[in-house]
Amino acid sequence: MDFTSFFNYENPDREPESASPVFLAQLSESGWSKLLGYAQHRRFAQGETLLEAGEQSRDFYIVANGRLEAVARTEQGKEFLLSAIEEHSIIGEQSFFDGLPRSATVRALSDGELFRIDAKALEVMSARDPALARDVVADLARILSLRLREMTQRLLRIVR
Amino acid sequence: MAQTAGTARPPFPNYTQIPTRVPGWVWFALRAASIATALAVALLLVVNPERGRVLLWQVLVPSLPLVMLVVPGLWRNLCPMAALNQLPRMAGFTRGLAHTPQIREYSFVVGIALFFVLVSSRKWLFDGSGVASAALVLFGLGGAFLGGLVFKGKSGWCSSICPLLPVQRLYGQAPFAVLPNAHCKPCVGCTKNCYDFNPSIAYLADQYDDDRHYVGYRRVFAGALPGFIYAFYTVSTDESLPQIYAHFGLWCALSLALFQVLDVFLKLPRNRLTVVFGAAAIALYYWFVAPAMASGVEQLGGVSIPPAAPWALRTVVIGIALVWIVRCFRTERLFLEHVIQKTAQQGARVGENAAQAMRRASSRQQAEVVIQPDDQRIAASAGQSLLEVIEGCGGEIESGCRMGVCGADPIAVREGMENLSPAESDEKSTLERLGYAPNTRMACCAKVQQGRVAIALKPERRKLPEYPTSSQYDANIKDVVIIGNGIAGITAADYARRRHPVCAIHVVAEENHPLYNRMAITRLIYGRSAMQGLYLLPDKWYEEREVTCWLNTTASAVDPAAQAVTLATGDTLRYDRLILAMGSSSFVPEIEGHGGAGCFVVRSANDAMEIRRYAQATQARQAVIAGGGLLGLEAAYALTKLGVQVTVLDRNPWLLHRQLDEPAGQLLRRYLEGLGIAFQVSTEIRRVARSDDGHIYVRLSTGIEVPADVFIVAAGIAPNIALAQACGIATRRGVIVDDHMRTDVPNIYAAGDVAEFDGRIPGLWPVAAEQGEVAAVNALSGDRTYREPVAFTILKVVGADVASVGRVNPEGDGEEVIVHEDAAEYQYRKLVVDRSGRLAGAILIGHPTLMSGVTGAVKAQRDVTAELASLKVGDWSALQAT
Repeated sequence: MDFTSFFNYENPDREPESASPVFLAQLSESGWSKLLGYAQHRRFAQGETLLEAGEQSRDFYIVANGRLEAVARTEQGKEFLLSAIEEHSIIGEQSFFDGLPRSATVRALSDGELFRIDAKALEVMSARDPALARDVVADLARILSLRLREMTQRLLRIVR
Repeated sequence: MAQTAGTARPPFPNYTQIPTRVPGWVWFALRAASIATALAVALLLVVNPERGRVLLWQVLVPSLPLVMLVVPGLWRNLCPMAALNQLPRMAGFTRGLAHTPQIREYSFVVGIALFFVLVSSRKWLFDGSGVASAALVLFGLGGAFLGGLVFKGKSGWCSSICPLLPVQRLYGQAPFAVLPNAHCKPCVGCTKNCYDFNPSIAYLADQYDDDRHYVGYRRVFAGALPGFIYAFYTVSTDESLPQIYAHFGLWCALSLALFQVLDVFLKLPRNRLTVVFGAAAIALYYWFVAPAMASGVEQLGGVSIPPAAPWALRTVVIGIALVWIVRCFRTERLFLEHVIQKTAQQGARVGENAAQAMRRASSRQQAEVVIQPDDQRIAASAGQSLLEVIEGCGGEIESGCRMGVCGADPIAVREGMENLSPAESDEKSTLERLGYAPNTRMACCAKVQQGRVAIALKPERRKLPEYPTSSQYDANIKDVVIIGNGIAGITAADYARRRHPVCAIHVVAEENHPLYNRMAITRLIYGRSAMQGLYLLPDKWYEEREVTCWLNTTASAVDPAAQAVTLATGDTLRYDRLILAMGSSSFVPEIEGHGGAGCFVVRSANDAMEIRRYAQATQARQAVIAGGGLLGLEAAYALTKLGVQVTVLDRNPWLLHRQLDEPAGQLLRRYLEGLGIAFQVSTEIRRVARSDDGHIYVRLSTGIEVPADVFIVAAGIAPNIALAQACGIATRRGVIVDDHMRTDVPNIYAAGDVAEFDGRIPGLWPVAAEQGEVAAVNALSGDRTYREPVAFTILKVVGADVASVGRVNPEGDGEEVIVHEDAAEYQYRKLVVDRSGRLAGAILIGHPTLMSGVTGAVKAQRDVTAELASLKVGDWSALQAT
């Protein structure tokens, strides 16, 4: 577990800068508008379940506003919180790539909106706007790679 | 559920977030006094060992654990060792080194070892010697000072090897009063999980660290401590040195063993057992030390302490320890709730540009579609069709013509019907044909206009099957036979029944399927649901209309004289009226070498399913499709989805030659190439060759040879006229009909792909539906003149967004052509305006929002003279659907 956010030695007055990677940080606003043009725009209400663990769907989501939580179940059936999902987060990109069942259930903690990009949207994007589609895939791959690195680091901390 | 920390005090405040009650200079003065006191105690220990030892070992030291338990910050700020440790930093002569990995790893272990060794050595050394005790005090002060000289922050002593640190960390985890660290200004980040930085979470952070060794040192200390305390007060000072240490070792080992066993079997949250052992140790300590403390105070103060005082102290400490346990447990629960989620793996985020774009998009989408029963809420923009909305969110819906004719996408509108565009004639007649409940709409036609619309993807049945039939009918007509089960035949059957409630209606169909969505058959190639969803009529449609359907049945002959149809089964159907709607087959031109395994056409559902079967069975990798028309392109896309590399051949220079002009055809080609389809245009097939192992090679007029595991001809249609020809009905390419769909033989009508009207066989679904209706109305003694619907086609390839309506090329002089192209944005739009100022045709690529408005306007042949100027400059809002 990483507790660095509680020991932000350099700047105790502030939450540490989020270490989470930024998806397509270089993409301009008009580029983003274009990308969102391929997406489906959904609204959600507090308490709504947006993704169900075990479900299969090839899509990922960008949370425009609102808060959600990702919960998983242990083998004994005990539910535990995996992560809190704040606005502007990306969720579901793993299943987007591998098509395997969702590993967590995502529930809305507040009302909000999100954008959904599925395999079909990416297919259309790659035919119409190959550069954008390439950037989307490459950057998602970068993010997954960072996460793998993080796991490796963590593994090193655990097994040393 | 957990709330995120707002502006209120965070649950685990760091030292800058803890309110400061004591000014800095006061701490400074107190620390000076603290150093002076320590030196004075050392002096006293030498000068007057008797009093000194009482002061140190019976009063000062026994007070410390309680201080650490209740107000740990007080000791952290006042400790004379810490004060000396920080002196080099304050004076600016510390070397400020960072720990090496080795030091970082073992400094806390050294602290633990020092604690156990020094405390156990009291028994034979310090307790009996003022000098040794003084040396110990000076060792502490000197060690802290030296550490401060070398290492940065408090990492030279206070947060590393100080023997009191393990005690202080264990007991300081749930302070009753929190004092902010008054030393480190600024923090230099010298230690992991620094207690001075964030006192209420430091110990838990240690306990939940990923490094099991790091955690283990701390747990070993907590686990051994009660045994160590017990050993301290049970060891006999008469023993030899080894025996003394053996006594300590034994009890520590017992205590640790107990800790370990409980840890394994109780399965408590990680920090509970350490807390319980800590509490046990401190209670044990004060149990034993209370009398000595009382006597110490008596001796030094010269006062008499009541005999109950030790008991009072013991009780108070046990009470405090119990409360402390509860507080620690609660903190750990809070920690698990608030902290894990905060520090759990954070997903990726998007930046400010994205946020801005999302805000903009949100403000544009005012309407909302709710899809029941899951109540998915989709933000929609005005003018979007329900079909687009549903497809966009991955909803389960079929689609066919996308213009309300085929009936593939009926949905139920549960709320907000008034927020949808009203149904127009094509949609209305389809809804009538399907016969669902009145709240049914065709998703492709119902456009969201504003507000909220709630829908369910399954249409609802009518409560009572009511069927609009005419009370006036021609009683002379008893038997109606329709040959063909496609949209022309079924529309004819539908209208025949509407006009005649009692006649027998027979539909004879060569295919083995009830009416299905022929426009979606290419989906059978790549989709996994086979025919499911492709059938267009509700289950009991034939039954409710008393239509007898002969599936998988061939009509072998028609006898116009006897007015009878002979079936290949041997049955004979007599008719008063016969409607021919046999449809068409694929037109396959003469191609040398064509035929055999791997050669296909795509006309029927069975064709498509056979292609899928064959492609799987042979592990087809490459396909060639002859024909860049609608069907050819849709089949190409379907095979691509199956992982097959497809090359489409076309004799024309651009795709969809009949529906698009050249720039539009080229734009579409680039898009399809982006999907992975290859093209060879302006080319003819010379021959189909086979290698020795049976592989097909398609040789082109350009000299190119394309290998193909699957070869599909999609070069247009050939009407099925053999039956009509055999019985003497006039035919050319198709069965010739007049504007009442009559053939030249009395009582025989024709409709759909088999019929040739005015020399034309458009081969389009809306034409077939219209002709079927006209044929049935006229056959059942009505009078309806056929008017050909304006041609309208949509390419059903994902994201292609191609629509063509009417006549897309100008004819003669004086026609206005308006074209706007933005190839980079994948957009093209064209209007053809005839001489009278009316819309004659249009092409739309990448303009979904213009689709319904423009096609509607072209179908209505709207006069756009007034809007011409704005249309020319690209403002087509006048045509936008409202």
